[in-house]
Amino acid sequence: MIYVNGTAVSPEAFQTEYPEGSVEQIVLGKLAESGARFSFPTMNHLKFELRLRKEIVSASYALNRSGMGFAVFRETRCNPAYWNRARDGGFVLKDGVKASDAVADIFRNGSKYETECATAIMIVYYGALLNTYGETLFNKTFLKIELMNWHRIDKLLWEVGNIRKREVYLPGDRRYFDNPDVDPLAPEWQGENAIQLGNGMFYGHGVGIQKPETIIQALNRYRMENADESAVLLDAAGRPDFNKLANISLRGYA
Amino acid sequence: MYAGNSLNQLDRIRQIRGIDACKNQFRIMEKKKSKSTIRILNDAGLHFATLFILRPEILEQNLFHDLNERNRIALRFCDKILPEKTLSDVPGIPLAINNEAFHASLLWILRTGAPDDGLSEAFDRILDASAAILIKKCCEKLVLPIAAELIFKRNQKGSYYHDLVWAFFSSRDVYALRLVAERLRSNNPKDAALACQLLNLPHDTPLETREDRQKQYARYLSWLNENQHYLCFTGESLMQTNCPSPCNVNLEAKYLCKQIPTRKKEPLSALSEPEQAVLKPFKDIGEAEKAVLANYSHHLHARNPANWNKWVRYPLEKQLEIAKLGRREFT
Repeated sequence: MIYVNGTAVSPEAFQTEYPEGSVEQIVLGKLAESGARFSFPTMNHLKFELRLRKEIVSASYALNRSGMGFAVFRETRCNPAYWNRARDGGFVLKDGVKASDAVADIFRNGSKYETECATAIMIVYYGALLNTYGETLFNKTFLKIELMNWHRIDKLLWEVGNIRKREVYLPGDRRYFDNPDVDPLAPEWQGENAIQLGNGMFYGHGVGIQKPETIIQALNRYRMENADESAVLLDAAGRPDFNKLANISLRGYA
Repeated sequence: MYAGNSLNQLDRIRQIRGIDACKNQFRIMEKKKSKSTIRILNDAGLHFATLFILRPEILEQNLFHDLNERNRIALRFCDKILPEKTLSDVPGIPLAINNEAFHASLLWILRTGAPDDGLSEAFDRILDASAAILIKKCCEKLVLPIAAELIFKRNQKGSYYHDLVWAFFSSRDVYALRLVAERLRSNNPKDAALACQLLNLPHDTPLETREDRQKQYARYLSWLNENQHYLCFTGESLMQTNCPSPCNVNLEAKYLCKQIPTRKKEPLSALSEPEQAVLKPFKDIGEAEKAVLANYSHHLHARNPANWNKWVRYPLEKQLEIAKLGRREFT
């Protein structure tokens, strides 16, 4: 059930605002159907979450089209006009470069970048926030950006890295396909970080936009001999603290 | 003779005068005295880093087949791991985990290569792959201290260590936890912070002073000693989450005081009918109550097995009451 400022809200109230089958309607439907209580301080907070989730899904498709390559952390590559490559394979925003320009460059010039799936997920979230906040607020909010995995992550996005069981899984969630019996010679296939897109599909960097079964099949191809456990989509998700991000949007500064 | 502890001639040149000097010297030596050069390469005391940097020269001079088995396997292994393939398929070089020569060669790579970690991305990748195979496929415990050392050294330098952490914990061995716990006492704040993260201790764990760190170490060891027989390793990795928990306590096992294998999803070893009967109501209670009962059960069993036998047969409510409030005959 959805509650805004303590009052129950039905998804039908948004029928004219969001078209049927849209990400927003899928999210509203799933929240309403769930037995759990989803509370939002204001209607603006709910609408912000719906908008950001839609942008996360859009950014996933955009990054998939960008031509960004896959590389293990030891061999990552980035556009040196905007990013410095860190020793551990992460990308660090260059001094004097606007965060909005640097993030937009990845989507525009994807072929100049190669990285692993976890970094790609962070790029998706930054891309979605750039579209939601707009350049000015985005640049005020993110003065420094480090793209790697969940261990050098901005405090505002810390919850994306904190994967745990949820009452319901929604478009825009960060999910994880675990491959427990992976071949030790292919550690990059130990799992696939993916964005749930809402139409039964997932975006994972390196595997593309796929059904979960296809991602599991791809992971299973990289298991060690005599493996007895299949790859599996974990019953868990990481998702940003939408209310915290909404507060920044609503007051116009970080 | 180049065996024993004395530093191999080529190792010495590489370490003192650098990689280029080592390569130049190798070319000169090879032209003058090819046989003795091969002997130096095949020397038991050679370090893997020297063989690694001389790969192009060895192949260029067509010396591969003159190398001993250890070196041939090591070079074949490099070829298998690294994207650029330099060797054409060579038959009769075993790369199977059940082969003793392969196992010995991987151990040599890791033991003698670890001090040169950071030589290049490709070199570090070979170290990671050797560690992963030895730990994950060969269950080689000897490798764990080397891997722990590499993880913490790389963390200090800011280089990549996440795959090595994944391999390290895939040992599913309590010894791995002890090795990490040692670093809680380190004077280097980066070591202590990483140990805290890898053991999944709370973010606000105080580690500022030496006393703090010693206290956290002692506390963790005490927890580990109490729970080591009931731990299941989760397989969670740094790629998956920012709070990976290497292991969880299996409360059912602790409640029954029954040791379990550390691999997840495996059932408790065959339970007797009375044990199954005892466990049935336990499964239905909340996690907090399970923890109270499991902790009490463990301590009572260690202190007085006869009393434990009596206590564990009481109805669950009575067990809980005794666990929470205590009772003279059980203290």
